[in-house]
Amino acid sequence: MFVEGVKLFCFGASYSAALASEAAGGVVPVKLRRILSLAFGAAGLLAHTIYLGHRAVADKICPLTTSYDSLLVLSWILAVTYLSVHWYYPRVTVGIFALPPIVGLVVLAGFLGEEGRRELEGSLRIWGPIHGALLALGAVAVFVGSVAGVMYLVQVRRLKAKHLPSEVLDLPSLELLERINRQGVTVAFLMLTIGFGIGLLLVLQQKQADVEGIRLLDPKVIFGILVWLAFAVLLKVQSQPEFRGRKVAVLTIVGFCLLLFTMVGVDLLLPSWHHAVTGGEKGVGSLLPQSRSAGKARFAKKTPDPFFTAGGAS
Amino acid sequence: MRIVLVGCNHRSAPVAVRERLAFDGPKLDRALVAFAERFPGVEAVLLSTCNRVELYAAGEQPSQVPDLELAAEFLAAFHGVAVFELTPHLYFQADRDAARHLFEVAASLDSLVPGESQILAQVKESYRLAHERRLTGPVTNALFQKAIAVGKLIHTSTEIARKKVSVSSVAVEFACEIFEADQFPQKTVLVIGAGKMGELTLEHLCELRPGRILVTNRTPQKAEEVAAKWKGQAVPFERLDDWLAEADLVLSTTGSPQPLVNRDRFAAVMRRRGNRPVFIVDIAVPRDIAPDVGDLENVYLYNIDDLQRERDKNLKAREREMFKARTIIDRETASFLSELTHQQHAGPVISQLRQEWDARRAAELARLFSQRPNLSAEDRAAIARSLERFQNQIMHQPVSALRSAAENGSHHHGLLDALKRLFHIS
Repeated sequence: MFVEGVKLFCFGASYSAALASEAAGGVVPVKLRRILSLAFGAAGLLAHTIYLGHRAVADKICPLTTSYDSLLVLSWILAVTYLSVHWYYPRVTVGIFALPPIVGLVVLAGFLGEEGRRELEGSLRIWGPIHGALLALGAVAVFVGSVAGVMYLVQVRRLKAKHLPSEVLDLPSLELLERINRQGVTVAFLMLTIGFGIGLLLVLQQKQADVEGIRLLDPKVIFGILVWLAFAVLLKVQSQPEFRGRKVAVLTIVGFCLLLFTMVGVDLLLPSWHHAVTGGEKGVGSLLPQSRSAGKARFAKKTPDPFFTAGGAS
Repeated sequence: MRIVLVGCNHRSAPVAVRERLAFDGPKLDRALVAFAERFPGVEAVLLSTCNRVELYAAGEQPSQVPDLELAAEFLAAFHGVAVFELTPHLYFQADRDAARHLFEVAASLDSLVPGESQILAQVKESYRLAHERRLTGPVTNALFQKAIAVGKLIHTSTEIARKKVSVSSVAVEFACEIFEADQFPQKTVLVIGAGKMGELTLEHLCELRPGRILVTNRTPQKAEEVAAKWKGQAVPFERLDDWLAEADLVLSTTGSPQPLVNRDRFAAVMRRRGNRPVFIVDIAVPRDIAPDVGDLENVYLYNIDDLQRERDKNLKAREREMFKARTIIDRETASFLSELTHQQHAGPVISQLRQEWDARRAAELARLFSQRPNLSAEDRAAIARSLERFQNQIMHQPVSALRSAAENGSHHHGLLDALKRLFHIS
């Protein structure tokens, strides 16, 4: 009963309260602020864990099959990362950089709403979740790199203004932030390469089996390739002296936005089959009314396809 | 009971007087022995640092503990100085004020640079020496143990020690904002010039244990001298750009009338160094590095004004922290004195009461066990434990009331008398 009562609002509000505590620097005493943000963050994470666990157990489906689930899993991993850093390095101001994207992802999930989920079949059953998990891990790595990038830019600004850290804003050294940023991009590139590689193989397999589904010219596939190329370029330029420091930090943040758009935005704004494969009720391009109906109609015709026979698609 | 303090510090006495009163090395040991001979039965601890000499004396009998005159005579005689020369520079404090002063000293509130951590170690060392010489007793043990605890408490619960208040230490703080602390052994420091201020800053930078120190100067001999002192390497001034390209931290302190390095020259250096971040401290006046060099990407340039401005901010912040620290010291002084008073007056009474009740309990148990010989060893132990618990519960309330009265400073003696009369304690 209690578990069913835990809603998206519970952890969204807790994370928002943690963010408000972090943002109250200079007003609330430092120690109280740290305790409040840690307490609200931990409460949010607990509710978040219960919510995801209940969903996974109740539906017996991998929680990475829809955009809604992917956003919640992604925000959960980010919340764990934030709380770990907050716990082990209490002096470091990390909340005001890490919590806004976490709250943003939860709000975006709430905006998308719960979608119908379909159990994947065939090779998708095994490789689909691996593909999703690798992309989620890649997104986490980019997120960590991006947060380090934002912190780097703030730290550069402060050092150029010749100010020492204050109680309100205490950041790690530039050297450490640059290293985290660089490692975040490297790990992300590795994860994205394998994740997108698996995705491409699945697309080719579908085509070879002459099964209706995602094709190479699907917006999701095109954006996936673009993101992979963007990260390959980013990996290359971060070793170039002229790009060192601020430029790489800015490019990582842009990379994170591009990846997030590919993971979620493409399903919402463009007519992609990817969303339909995972069972989303809103169908393709769910924010485009004409696309939605067209997608649904097209989808309805394909129901004999072995991929989509598990119901709920038409 | 009485606690007294006689001493001088950087505010009350010039360095010439402090030097004559200092107990350095074996002198401290001899002074403790001499004090024990001169004032037998009196507890004492001597604290001697470069900024203060303080004698703490305490005893159960106030009449035994030396006053200002006697203590000044002792110090003067030991150092072979006329008393009238010393007396104007000495301060004397007793009981609450003396305890409070020691707590402030241990917490580094009374130091030349408030918040420095060395003084706490010096207080510990002075106490250890006096303890080894058997000059401490119940009062000084309690006093110094509390002082050490208060010193630690202030360091952990306030920000007083975090704020750096010298230009050189502010420079080090900036360096730590740019480079990772554990990466300094891989860093190179370049010192341009051989000024005194530069050496002071280099001394602080050396605390970060940089891997390499390069020293360059127009006069090679001076560079050699500084390099030898700091285990660095003297390098030719003519190849300054090469060294700038290698260095991660640059400390410039020459007496050059015009800038040594302008923006274009440093931009070329940055290209050579692959745009690696560089931290430059230019404490020369006039400046050695053109100010617009700081506008270059990955160049962090600070001059003497920048460092002084941050130092002043830290000083203000530290003053705010000192207010917090003093509030803690007020609280801890009151708690220490009430605890000490409680131990002094109530301790023997409570101990006597406990001994008497223990004896009665043992007698009662012996009578019971002789009347019930069939009781098993297990039952006997259970009954003994139960009676002991009962006794502790009965005693808890009067002991707590005594402690509370001692803390509030009211009716303490009345309660103590009542306890003595009620339980027939002599």
